[in-house]
Amino acid sequence: MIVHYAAIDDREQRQSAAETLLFFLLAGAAMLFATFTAAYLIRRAGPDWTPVPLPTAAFIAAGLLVLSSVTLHVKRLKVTIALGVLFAVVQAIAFRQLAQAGVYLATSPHGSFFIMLTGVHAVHVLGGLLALCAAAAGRARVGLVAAWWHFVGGLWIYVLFMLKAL
Amino acid sequence: MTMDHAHAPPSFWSRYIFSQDHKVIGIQYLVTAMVMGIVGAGLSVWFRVQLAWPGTAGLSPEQYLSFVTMHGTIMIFFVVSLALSSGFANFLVPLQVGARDMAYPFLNMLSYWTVVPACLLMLASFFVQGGAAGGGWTAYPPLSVIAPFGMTMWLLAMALFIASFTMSSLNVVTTIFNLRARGMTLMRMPLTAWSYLVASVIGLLSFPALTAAAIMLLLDRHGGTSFYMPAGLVVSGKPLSYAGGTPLLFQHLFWFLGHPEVYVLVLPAIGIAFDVIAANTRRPPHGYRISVYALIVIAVLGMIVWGHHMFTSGMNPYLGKYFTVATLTITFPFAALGVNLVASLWKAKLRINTAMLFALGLISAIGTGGLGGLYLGNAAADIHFHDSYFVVGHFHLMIGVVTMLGTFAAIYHWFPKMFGRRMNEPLGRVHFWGTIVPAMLIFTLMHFQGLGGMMRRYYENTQVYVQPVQGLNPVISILAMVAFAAQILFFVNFFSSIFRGAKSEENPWQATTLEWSAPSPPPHLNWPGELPEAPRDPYVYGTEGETDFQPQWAEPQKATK
Repeated sequence: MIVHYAAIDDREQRQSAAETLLFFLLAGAAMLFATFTAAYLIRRAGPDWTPVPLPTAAFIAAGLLVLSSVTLHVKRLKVTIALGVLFAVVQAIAFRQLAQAGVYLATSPHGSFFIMLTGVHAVHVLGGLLALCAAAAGRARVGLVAAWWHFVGGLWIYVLFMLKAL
Repeated sequence: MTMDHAHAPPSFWSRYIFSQDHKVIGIQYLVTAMVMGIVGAGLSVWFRVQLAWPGTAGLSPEQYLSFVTMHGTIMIFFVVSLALSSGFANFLVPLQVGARDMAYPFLNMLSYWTVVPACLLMLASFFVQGGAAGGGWTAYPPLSVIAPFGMTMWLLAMALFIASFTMSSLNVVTTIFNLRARGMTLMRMPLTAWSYLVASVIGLLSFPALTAAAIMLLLDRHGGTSFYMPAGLVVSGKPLSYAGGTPLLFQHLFWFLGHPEVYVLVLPAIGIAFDVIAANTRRPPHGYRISVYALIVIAVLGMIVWGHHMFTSGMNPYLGKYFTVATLTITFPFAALGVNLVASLWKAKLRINTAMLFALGLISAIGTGGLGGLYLGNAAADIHFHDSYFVVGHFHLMIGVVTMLGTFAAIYHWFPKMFGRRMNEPLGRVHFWGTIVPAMLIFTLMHFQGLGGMMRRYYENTQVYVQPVQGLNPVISILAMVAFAAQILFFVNFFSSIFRGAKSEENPWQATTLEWSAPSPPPHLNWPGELPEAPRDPYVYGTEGETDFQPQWAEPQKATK
């Protein structure tokens, strides 16, 4: 029923279009997390702000993403995908660690931010994983997917830094 | 890659329903917006009855607020955004820059089919317990957090809308940056295409703020978090367990989108006016380059002035000063656009048709609407005017009248390109006068009601001091009904002209821009043969040979000849 057709015949045009698309996707995602940062800075000035200890799994997850960026850099796509999936698993463990420490979504505003940002970030990781699979199947350019993946990895380190240090 | 995909898609479904053709999608957006427009405008006529003759409209105060909220939401996001931003951007951008389609046709189809459930969800929210959202289109907490379930549906519908708008805008920017025809440099693009580029970029950069705001609002509603909710709230005698949040945060995030959204809607209307006026004055629009720069400056400034919606919300006076100065600075690029529009008419021989009438009306509405903005952008004056009908009159002129006049100008102007037929001219003129006279009167009179102290969103204004302006309410309501009735003419004209309108040739207005080189209606992939090229500027008029215009796609004649 759905006919796939490309509006672009020219290979170079198609590549540059993909670059533009990626650029604005990155800009939009950056704006999203910039907004969350602003919200975080305003909210943390509230009278009830009490930091919760961040789960150790979240830091291990950051290490996994860094590692996955390295494996992607040396073009080991399948290893990268495996590390990405492992990242999601470790993040789930982080949620469990938080729950064991008695921190749920509504327990503390700091914890609310951790859980919300983890979730929103996970959606971006999921998008990256799908793109990686497309790249592994030869249906997307590795270079572009890598740009997104490095961004998502950097984003997680940034989020952790914000939650820990600010 | 070969051109074997150039054949029109075969079945009815893939051709008209799940189409990936930008022209079909553009028309789908337009018709969807028209349907939503009946609802959105109908709501306003309904609650205007309550304002004019209290108690006769059969609305409870809660229903009244929910009608006001849904009128605003539907008109801004599901009528003007759909018709003007997504609809005409889809139809015009590839044709004007000389592309076979949008860069990502599948994404384009997805964007339309994401907005359809958004529309349905929004409409369905009227029928859930507690009714549709009633906290105003701005959805300020704490009210929006404790509101009934309709508010959740509102938020989810908005989330779908944002997703759709993002996909549509991504297509516009990728198409414009990468798929322009040979010779079509950025500074050779028609102003309509420019305005869509600028509007799409600000949309892409500002909608994420609303996304973040909506996620936190949903969590406050259903997750028990306190991003926005302060401590000590008591609702219906019951203390709430929230603590520590700040409702002001939401206002900042909302207006970080809300203000740029105004330009997302208004700039394309202005771009369209330039194109329509150029074709009907037989001259290039005045100051093309200045207009382009003005569009960009407005976009940049428009992103950093959101605080002027919050002068009375509680703000450091120094911050208020900044927002005042930044807001009033927008006057300069905006005035440049206005002056260029007027100067385009200076000593020109006007060819008056319906599209031109709407474009001329648009200039007038920008001037009238912009005047109120000077007062509201200034913190000192705004504290007096805030939340009064002065504000209602002002923003309706800008994002209501200017955008609708722009949309109608576009429809009458490009209808022949869409369907290969013209719309009925006498009916169009009646529609124009039936729209602009009531519209300008309604919103100008509202300014005076606001000066008289009448407040927006009140179910009934019973204060003694508003008595002198109370009598305007029935007048405004009757004018609103007239304006609504005039739209019936438009609907009749639109749908009957699709089948019975006079046949139109390729370029009925003798316009110069690239879309007029395609057949009317353009076939699948827009040009039957090779893509056109753009060897010259978009608006070249004046005699050189037999015609008074030199289309952008025609080779310039050699100077030696």
